[in-house]
Formats: sequence, C-alpha cells, structure tokens
Amino acid sequence: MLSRRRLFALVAIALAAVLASPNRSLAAELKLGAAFSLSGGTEDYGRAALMGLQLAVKEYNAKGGYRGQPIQVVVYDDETKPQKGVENVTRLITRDKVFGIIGPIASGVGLAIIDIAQKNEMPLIDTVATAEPIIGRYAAAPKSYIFRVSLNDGIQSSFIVDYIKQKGLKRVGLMHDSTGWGQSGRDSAQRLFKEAGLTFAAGPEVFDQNDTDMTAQLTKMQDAKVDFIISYSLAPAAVQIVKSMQKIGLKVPWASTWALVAPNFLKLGGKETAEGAMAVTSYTPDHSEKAKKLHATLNQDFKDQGGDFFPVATAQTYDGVRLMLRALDKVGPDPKKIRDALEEIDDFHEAVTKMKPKPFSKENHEALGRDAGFLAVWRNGEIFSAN
Amino acid sequence: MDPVFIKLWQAIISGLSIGSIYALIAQGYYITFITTATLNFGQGEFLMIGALVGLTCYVSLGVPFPIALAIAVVVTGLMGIMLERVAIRPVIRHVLSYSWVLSTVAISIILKNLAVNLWGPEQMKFPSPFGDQVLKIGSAGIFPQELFIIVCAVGTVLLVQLFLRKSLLGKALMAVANNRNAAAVVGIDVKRMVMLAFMLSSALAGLGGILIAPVTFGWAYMGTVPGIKAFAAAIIGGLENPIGILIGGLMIGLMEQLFGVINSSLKEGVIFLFILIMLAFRPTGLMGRRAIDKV
Repeated sequence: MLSRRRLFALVAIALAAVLASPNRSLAAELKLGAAFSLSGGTEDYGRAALMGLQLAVKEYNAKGGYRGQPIQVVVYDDETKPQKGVENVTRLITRDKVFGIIGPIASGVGLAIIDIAQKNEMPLIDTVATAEPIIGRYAAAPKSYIFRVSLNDGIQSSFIVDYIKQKGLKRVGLMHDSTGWGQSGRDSAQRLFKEAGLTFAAGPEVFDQNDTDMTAQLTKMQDAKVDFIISYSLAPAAVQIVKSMQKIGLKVPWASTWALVAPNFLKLGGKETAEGAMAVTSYTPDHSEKAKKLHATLNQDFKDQGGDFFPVATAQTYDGVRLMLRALDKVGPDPKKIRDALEEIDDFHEAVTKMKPKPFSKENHEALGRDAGFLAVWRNGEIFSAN
Repeated sequence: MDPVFIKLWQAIISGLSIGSIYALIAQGYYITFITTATLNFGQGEFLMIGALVGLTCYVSLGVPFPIALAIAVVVTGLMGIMLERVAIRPVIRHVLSYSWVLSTVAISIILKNLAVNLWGPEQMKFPSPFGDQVLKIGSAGIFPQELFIIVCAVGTVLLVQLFLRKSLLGKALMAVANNRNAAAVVGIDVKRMVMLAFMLSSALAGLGGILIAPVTFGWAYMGTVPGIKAFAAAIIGGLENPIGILIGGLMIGLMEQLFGVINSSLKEGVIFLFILIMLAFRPTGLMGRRAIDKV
C-alpha cells in the first residue's frame, strides 16, 4: 500500500512526464494547411501549386522559420470533389489546428469550402480557383476571411479585350463551350465588347467540351473573315479547335483564358498545335527578373517532379504562401489576427506576379486585379509574354 | 465555290468519318442481338478499352501500330467472351429475363472505374500513325486518320457480312441466330457460336476504339456517347438488317455535322428528335423487317 507521500510523488512524476513529452508541448505546433486537388481533373494545377507552397515554406524555414521554429505543412487531397474538400478543410481547422489555409484549386470545391473557413474564422488564400463568387460571396461581410491570388474569370476576359483594342483588331469571332464557365465567359466577353463599343463579326458559337470537330463553327468564322478568335475552351476542346482550323485552312491568332496555359494543352496537342495560341496569365517565367530566378530555382530544386511545368500556378501559390507567412511573422499564429494582418500588408515587394506591394485591403481581397495580367503566347512548346 | 456548298461538303466528309465508327460499333449490337436477343450496353466501354489498350501499346510501349491494333482487338475480343460468360449466359436462362440489361450496364460501369484507376480520368494524346498533314478532298479538309477510319470501318462491316454469309463458321452463327434449336439439331455447337458472337461484337468495338482514339483522345469516359449513338444507329437501321445499320450509323454521323452547321448547340437534341419521329413512322427502323407474329 503506497503511502500518501509516495502516491503524490508518483503522480507528480507521471504528470511531468506527460507534460514534457513532445505531444503535449506547450509551444503550439505551427501548421499551415493546404486544401488542394491532387487528383481528378485539376491535378496539374494542384501539383504545381504544391511545388510553390513547398518552395516558399522551405525558404521560410531555412531563414529560421517563425521565431526560430520551423512551420509544418499539412496537405489534404480533395480529388476535385467538393464534399471531400469540405471534410478536409474541417479537419484542418478542428483537428490539425492550422493557422491558415492555402487553397482550393478547383472552383467547384472552392464554392463549398469558403463557408467553412469563413464560419470558423480561418484565413484562406485561394491561389488558383477563378470563379468570381469565391471572393464575391463574403466581400460585403465586415470581416471576410477569404483572399485570392489569382485572376478571376471576369478579369481574365478583360485582358483579351485589352489586347484586341490595343492591336486594333476589327473582326473578332467568339466561341465557347456549353458549360456554365463557358457561358459566363461569353457573357463577360459580350459585356466588355459592348462597353468598348465593339461588336463581334462572328459568333457566339457553341461547342460541347468533348466535341472532336468544330469545323462547322469555324467555317462560319472563316466566312465572316475574322482576324482573331476568342474562345472559352479547356485544353481538350482547344486542341480540337486548332485541328479543325487546320482542316479548313483557317489561320488566325486566337486567345483563351488561362486554361490554355495549363500543361495538358501542350501534352494533348503537341508543340505545333499549341504554336501561336494565346492565353491570359498573371505570370510567365520570362516576364521579370524575379520570375526568371524563380523559374531557375524550381527547375533545379524540383527537377524530379518535372521542374517548373506549370509556372503560373506555382508562382501564384509561391506569392500567396509568402503573404500568409508575412502575416504570421507580424502577428503570430492566431488565425483572426492573421486575417487582419493580411489586409494591412503594404510592403510586399518580393512578389513574382504583378501584385502590388499592398495586395489586399478591407474592400479588396483580390491581389491580382486589372493591372496584374497579360496575354501570353505559346512558342515552340514554351510560354512567353505576348507583346 | 459557293460557301454554302463548301460548308456542307466539309460537314459531309467529317460526318462520314464519325458515322462509320457508329456503324462499326452498331454491327456489334447487331451480332449479339441476332444470336442471343441481347445487347451489350457496355459496347461503348469496350470501345474505350480497345482505345486505351492500343494507346498503352503504341504510345507507352512503342509497339508498332498494326501490332498495337491487333492486340487491342484481341484483348477486347477475349473480354467479350468473358462478358458472355459472366453477364449474359447466367442471365438468359429464363426466356423472359431482361437482367442482361443490368448486367451489361454493370460491366460498363466496372470497366469505366477500372480505366480511371489504371489510366487516370484525363484525356491522353494518341498520335495518329498517319501523321497530321491535312488532306484535301475537293475543298474539304480531312486528316489521314479520318480517311483511314472510313475505309477501315466500312471495309470491316462488309468483311463481317461476307464472313457471316459465305464462310462455314459464319453461316453456323447465322443458323443459331435464325433458329437456335434447329441449329442444335443439325449439330452446331450453339454455346460456342454464342461465344463467337460476343467475341466478334466486342472486337469490333475495340477496333472502333483504336481507330477513333487519335481523333478524339484516349479517355476513360470516351465510350459512353459513341455507345449510345451507335445504339441509335442500330435501332434506326433496323436491328436485324446489317446494311440498314451501316446506313444508320453513317446517317447519324452526317446529321450531327450537318445540323452543327445550322446550330451547334441544338444538334444533339435535333438528331434524337429526328430519331423519335422516324421511329413513330417506321417502328422497326428504316430497313427492319416488319415483325408479323402469326397466331
């Protein structure tokens, strides 16, 4: 029978052992969460974003991390399924207790998870998904926890129209796929044209995203003698469009949103098909000195993952993560304080995209706006700025 | 040249190409229907398997195209035998059983799932062994692969018909189709003929797949729509008339492209509306026999 004193000693030792063990460390672990799609349709974007995240964290920890403590990253794959995205984000918030979340990749997942982040007061930086409501839904809230470092759909169309105005192209054709995204793209293109006092020479022509022959639609464009085509088409349809243009001998420059900057456009079509196609982007590996440096670093450090295979997704995530870490440095691992700090950052000069040193404000959570994008063009299997 | 004519001619050429694939797959429906009164609703997925097996052989393993084609056709043919064993035979024991509808649909879903796990859900490029130079037929452009599709698919349909009518094995198969019991009485191995029917039907779908993949991309979900359109082709051609089916397939392909010239967003709906109207006037299809049951 243990004496009372012995019992107390035993309990004290046990308690000390438990408290001192790493799982019960009083210094909270610093965890950054990532809700990415690493499989299922948008995986190229997801894998590239992950690279940007990993590089940013690696550099941050190499410089000492947060007050000497390295941060960890917790990544969950939502397989491009909204329901899984919701589960992942819930887990990041309640179980992993992260201080911030980077993601999503897919707009469909995004529209589902922003409600969870907002309700749980967890700052979330979206570095890929482009649907306008992702920011729009909580833009009017007194404290929105949702931020974005990516060009939203509406803004992307405006860059194409800018290019058209700049080059003085008079006969433009419009075509789009039958999905909701394609239709909203058509709407924004028509709206922007009307505002600019322009009209389309041909279209809007529709196609199904899995159609293999667009000669019917393109022949009408050819009859109308278009000198430029705007198309809202994902990579597979885009390849078929080029092939159909070859069939009917139609050779005009054409542009789409950043769907054409994705590596699977090159993979599916090959260099000759991609040649001359233009796409909206916020970043090309050659558009600035910082970009060139990042491109070289990625090709070296991540050679076994394919190097910088999808520059814009990696670059936007690299910037987005560093913004989150800058906020962390300022106010510590408190999600609510980080949210406020993000709005106040005004000295972020190291961006590789064209964001301003003050990317966010109370009224604006879109870091990349009308002055942060431009048209890029495929030349010989690589992306360059179109001038 | 008159621009309207140019548009139409291009649509006709493109339509014949895709239409001949529908005709090829529809032949598969025909063969199993006449021998067992069943249809393989997974025919589209067999097309997909043929395409993806061919893609793996030709693109990933560097096998020469004719051999890759042969492998794709053989693999799908063997899978057809498996299909008959697993999804048809156990189920058609009862004369009035329609469970083969579900079992073939089940096979199609399983195959799709398998394909997504083996090859991923994204489209994959299948470079045409004939290159990408556009050929001109009059004012219409066509890729060499599309020309090959027309020649190969129509040629295969005619070859199959020749086989069924002229060769001993083919005639045995037709005998089973005609009257199962009588065929058994004259010593034809009915079970084996049925197996042959399914093997042939699936091999045709597999051939269609590897022919069309360079045009459409190889893709786990590529078979669904062609499977349905080929079924429509079989029905409007008259399920028991092989030439009708050939015409039916070509017709659907042509209609797709011609309606596309008028209005691309409505073309699918219009095609099937047309099918409905046609069936209202000729229920057994364009060239099907009018079924007269003597009582």
